Amino acid sequence: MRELEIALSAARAAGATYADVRVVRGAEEQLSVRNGCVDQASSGSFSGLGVRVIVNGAWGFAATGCVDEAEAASVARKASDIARASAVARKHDAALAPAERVVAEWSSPCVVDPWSVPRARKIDILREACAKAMASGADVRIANAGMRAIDEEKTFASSEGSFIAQHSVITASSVSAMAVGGGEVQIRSYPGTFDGNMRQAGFEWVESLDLPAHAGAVGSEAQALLSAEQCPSMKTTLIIGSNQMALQIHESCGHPVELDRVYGTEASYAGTSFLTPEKLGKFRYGSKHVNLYADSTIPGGLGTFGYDDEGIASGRSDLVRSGLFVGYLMSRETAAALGTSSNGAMRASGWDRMPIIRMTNICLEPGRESLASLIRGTEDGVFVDGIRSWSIDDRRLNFQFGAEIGWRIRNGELAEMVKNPTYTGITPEFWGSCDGVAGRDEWVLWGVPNCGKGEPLQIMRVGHGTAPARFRNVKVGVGRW
Amino acid sequence: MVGKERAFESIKEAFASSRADMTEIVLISERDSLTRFANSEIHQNTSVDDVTIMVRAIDGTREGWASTNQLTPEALADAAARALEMASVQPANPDFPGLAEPAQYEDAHGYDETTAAFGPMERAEAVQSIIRQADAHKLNASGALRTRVREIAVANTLGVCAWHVGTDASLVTVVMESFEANAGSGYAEAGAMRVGDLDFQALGARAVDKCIASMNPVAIEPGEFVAVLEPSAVSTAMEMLAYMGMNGLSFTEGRSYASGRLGAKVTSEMVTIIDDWRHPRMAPLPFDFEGVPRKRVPLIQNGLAAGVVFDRAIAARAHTKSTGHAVPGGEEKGGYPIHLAMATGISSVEEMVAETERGVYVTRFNYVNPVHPTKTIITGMTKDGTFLIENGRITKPLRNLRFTESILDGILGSVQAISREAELIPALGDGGLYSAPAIKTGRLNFTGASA
Repeated sequence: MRELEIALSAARAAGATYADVRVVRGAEEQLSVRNGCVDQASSGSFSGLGVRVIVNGAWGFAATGCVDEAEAASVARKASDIARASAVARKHDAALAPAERVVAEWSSPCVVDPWSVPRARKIDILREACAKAMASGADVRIANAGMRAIDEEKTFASSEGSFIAQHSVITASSVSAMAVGGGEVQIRSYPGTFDGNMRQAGFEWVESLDLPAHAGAVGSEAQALLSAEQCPSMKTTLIIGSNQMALQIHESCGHPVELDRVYGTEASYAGTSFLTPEKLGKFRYGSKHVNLYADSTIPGGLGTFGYDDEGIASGRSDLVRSGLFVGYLMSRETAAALGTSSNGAMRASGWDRMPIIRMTNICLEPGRESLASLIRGTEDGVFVDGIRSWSIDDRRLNFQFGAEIGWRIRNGELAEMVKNPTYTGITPEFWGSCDGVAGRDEWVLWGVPNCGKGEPLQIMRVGHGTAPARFRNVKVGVGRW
Repeated sequence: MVGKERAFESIKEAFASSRADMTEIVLISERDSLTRFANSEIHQNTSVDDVTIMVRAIDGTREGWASTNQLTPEALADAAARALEMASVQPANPDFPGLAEPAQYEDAHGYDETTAAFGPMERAEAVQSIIRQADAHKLNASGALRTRVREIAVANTLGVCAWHVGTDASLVTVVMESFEANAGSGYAEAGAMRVGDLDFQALGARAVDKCIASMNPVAIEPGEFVAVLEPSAVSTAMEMLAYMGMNGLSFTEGRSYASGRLGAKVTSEMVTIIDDWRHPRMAPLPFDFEGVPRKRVPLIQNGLAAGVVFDRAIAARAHTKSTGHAVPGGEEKGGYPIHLAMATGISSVEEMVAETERGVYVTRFNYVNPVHPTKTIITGMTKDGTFLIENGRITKPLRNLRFTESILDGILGSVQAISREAELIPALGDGGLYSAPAIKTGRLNFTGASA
């Protein structure tokens, strides 16, 4: 692509000591059905070019939706002017850890092109799922079913000679039911919250989810929650299901291991982190059962890619090993500050954003238990699942999360359903109380499409591989109900 | 930027290429510039130019949407064709209310040339004025200064033809003693239509002073407290309320606090919240993204649930009229308030503190999310300046506290005083500017504390 070469040349001519440019083009289709009627049918296309430069030791970024040769040069010069202004308020020069020169192509797996499937068929699936969810409870007031497909082509070039083309196809499909009555609103979702479980795959992923087959359970659980008892307030044993575990990992592990947060560059917005560099390799983050890792190579993962937006190859790296904190998510600049090399976590949400450190697929390694054995080993406790509410402090320590549904556990068996379950804790104490993780059979790769970070805001797609796990002595049922 | 003439030329071209029964186009052209600083230096600095064109094609009673960010005739024709394609696969929608009819719009006067022309060097100098103050006290300054100019055109084949150009600017700064646990931290934020209305020096001084005052905080046992909330914290509560219940769709589906309760008492009678695009100093926008003139909508009036905002589709379902609050793109149905203002009172923050025997002073809330929307229960942390009030004065800084409380039953249900002055606070994301006073509430339930 000639625009990339022109942008790099213009940046060099404007004094850039480093420059990279991304051209992103793509399309998105969104269909949703609400209570049997088509609620949303939209088709989007987008393209743009973003240039990032270092001039006088400082960063500048400019972007335009108009991808042509003249605009590429103009945007590169604008980015350079912005960098020169950044240098006015600079205390140290931006330094990058070394990177290999890469010329490569990468594509995500896709068996059935989602654009090849007739929209009428997609709507039929959604309407059937909606109808089954609605029919499953007298108080199910709203049933929603949706599908999304994204096709994105990204080309990256840097002043260090890298040139990388990547192509990604993403699909998602979900159904939810909302029961309303007696001052309560209760929601259940399948396969999970946030667009279900988004994946880098073709329409075969949507087929495999089989929304209509699960919609009835979604409706009947939402209905049952209306008359369930409020989750009691107590300290008890908590078992977290796989979907809720994605949230737990995201907030209390994924974010605090982002090295830009650690170095304070998100201090005014996303916050900082308690996992400061002197803790690396020394700090006990969790119990011996807790093994967490970042892996941007998992097929289908929403945090999977060939190369990040600095041209660093994807890979796997440990974050927590047998409870010990051992690794960060890094960019070239933060890795240089730590005296190491980047593990490829630098991504931008689109052509119009400067890359920042983002989660890839942050995963909990499977253990040796099963959900059934975790419940059997619990005399008294609560089992929760389905992401509903989340809040955590700016250093990622004090958290409070809520789930869609819960059940009391009595004498090693699931007992009555409870509604509005919440729980709270302090991150290392909480993970330190983990005494069992379910195994590979119950490990699920979740796609989370809505991780917010950065200014201007960047909504990023990330992944989490999770299995149910058990935690002792946790405060549940927070607040006044 | 695209400019009015070119915007409508493009829209006409798209109308000409559309084969739909009716067509609506929303064009948003934007320059969004943001200088971000941390560790007392600029580390991210961006400027993005983009245009978004959203086409709504009507085929009988069916509607389809398509978008593009390319303004070429080919791209517009393609978007129009895709929108019609999306409409054609649907079953008929007997509730479709049609597109908006032509209307007259008030002049908004929302554009400020200085803000539109505010460049990277001027942003850097503004940021430097804050950094210098932090440096003088060996503190760590971070934050973001954003300026934006935005053109919006809305037109449809029934004759709606609305155009607006506006500017806005915002500054957020956090000044910290260090990144250690329970270190001192201060905050200031402000939004305005004109960048010249942002007093960078004063905002920096406020954050520095608060950081110094909040050093060496002590822990207190969580529990229910009287609390004095600065405008930033009040704005967050208003934002959460808007998200959970001021939307026409949640209202008609029985999910809103106002569902079935219009005219009923929902907060202290001291509380009045309106959505008013003409409110002084707001970044005005006289119409919504369907081309309907925006109305001033009382949402809570003297403590009584007074209304919610609507777009056309949900208004028709509720047998009422649109209030002019449709959002772009048709994704979020029901409408959303982007010019929220809480009525001011007769008190001052100093008087609120002086009249408090024991309470907590809160600068801002952080990472707040709903716990239970219909009960308006939210949770979040205090941040960047939490203090203990004892016997009518602030006596010591406190470690940050987690609260879990109902906005209506707790925070706004127990309001004891509202300040005479309000501040313009930027809402999260693209949520507009909110005008919020400080309040004193008799009830804020703290359920945890920072480690």
